[in-house]
Amino acid sequence: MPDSVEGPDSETMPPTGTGRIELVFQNDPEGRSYLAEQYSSYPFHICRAHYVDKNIPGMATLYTQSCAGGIFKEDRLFMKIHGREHVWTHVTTQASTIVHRMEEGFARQQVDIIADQGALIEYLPDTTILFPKAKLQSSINIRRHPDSDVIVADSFLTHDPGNADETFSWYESELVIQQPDGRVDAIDRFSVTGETFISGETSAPGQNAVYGTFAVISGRADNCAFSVALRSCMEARADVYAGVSRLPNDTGCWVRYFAMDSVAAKAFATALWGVSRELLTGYTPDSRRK
Amino acid sequence: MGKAITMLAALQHGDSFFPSGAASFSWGLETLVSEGTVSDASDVEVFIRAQLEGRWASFDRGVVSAAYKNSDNMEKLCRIDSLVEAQTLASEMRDGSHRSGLALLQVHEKLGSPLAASYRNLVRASAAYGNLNVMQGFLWANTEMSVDDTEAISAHTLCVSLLGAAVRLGAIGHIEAQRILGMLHPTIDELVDDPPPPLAKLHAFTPISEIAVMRHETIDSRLFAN
Repeated sequence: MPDSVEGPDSETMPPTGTGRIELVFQNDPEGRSYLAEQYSSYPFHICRAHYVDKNIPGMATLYTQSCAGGIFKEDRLFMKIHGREHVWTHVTTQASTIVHRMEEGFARQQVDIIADQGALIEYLPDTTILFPKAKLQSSINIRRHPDSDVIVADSFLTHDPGNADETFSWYESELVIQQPDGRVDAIDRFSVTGETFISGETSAPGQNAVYGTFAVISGRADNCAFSVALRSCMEARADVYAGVSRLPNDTGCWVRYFAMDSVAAKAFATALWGVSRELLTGYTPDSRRK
Repeated sequence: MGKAITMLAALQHGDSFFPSGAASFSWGLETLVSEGTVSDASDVEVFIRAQLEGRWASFDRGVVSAAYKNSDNMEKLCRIDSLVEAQTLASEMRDGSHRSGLALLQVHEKLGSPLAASYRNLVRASAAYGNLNVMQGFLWANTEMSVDDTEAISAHTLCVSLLGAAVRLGAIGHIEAQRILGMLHPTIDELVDDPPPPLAKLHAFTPISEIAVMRHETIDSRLFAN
């Protein structure tokens, strides 16, 4: 394989951002995952770990919450999720995150995920809702051991609560998948203005609703089996336009989709998560109450 | 050197007569036509304009420019090639980029272009991928064309490739294709007025064509490779 490129340093955010949350999961002697280290500052709030999967009773689920009611101008939010060896854990948000109107300035959020050998980390936040004139830089950096699995989802929608024919100003997103030594296997980077998002890439209607990406990053999974399973979630879904493919450098499989609305997006993402979890662990996940 | 030399080089390398293998690829258009999303000249124009603005300008152009400027540095070219590989997420998009890049490389190797044989050996040894936009910048740097010419030819060949696919798919006729190509010229002219994006900032947002390429992997009837 050709030399990989060097990726960005995962610690590019200053340590004194507006809000910071750091989570380190590890297994106890019985193999039950727990939050071994944690730190959070305003606006973040961490709930205690829940154990909701009856077939995997030792798998911790953690909800992150924000006391601020969303993301505002000049917010600099940083989250770090580290799964130590053989940890299985699920991290999600308590609800969708609203990115509020910004007449000036912009906001930035960065999520760093580190998966050690044998770890399974699921990072499945709810859809980001971009209000008119919102400006957000979002990055997710994943450093994962070749013998680990990460399931990650990222999605956004535009919402105009005042029906004033307005949309977000711009949204920049970056998903970087790296090896432990920093070499990059895959980068998904885009920048889009609300105007471009609304106008669309073709004349087809309905493509400007919820935009999402779902990826199963695994160096040990059978990509063919994942492709088939992920495609099965698209069947009989007229409310979703999606594609499934293999990521570069044998990094895993991924899905890109447009959904007609947030309900369709949530149902689709839940189905993708279900088949992915089943292929990785042998068990489908139990639903999370939100 | 005569003034005509540069233009003649551009005509040669930008001509669909040049055996680059570009006619085998639709870059998602086949799926969109078969699904009825793209069906007429207006749809085709909107689609190609989106590819120019949403991907070529912010991604391909930066790669072509960087490869041109590093055309004598095999190590740097390989790193650019790897970056393109990492940022080309759809499998058939990568396959198309490899195959058309390799076709271009092989022709230039046979034409005796400097360093083409060396890079071909790197691809054979799996030390490089030979992605199309990297090969365009690398190989065209060894012609009489300037980097500006090279970027314009890159945009032109993308348009011609997509228009050719649209004609073969029956979405438009030859005259409509020429009309659309002419309508796209001011867009290309405007896009190349801005500086090309640096490698660290390459980005693209053409989700519909990307999804279409992904869906093409399982399409029943295939005229094109992607």
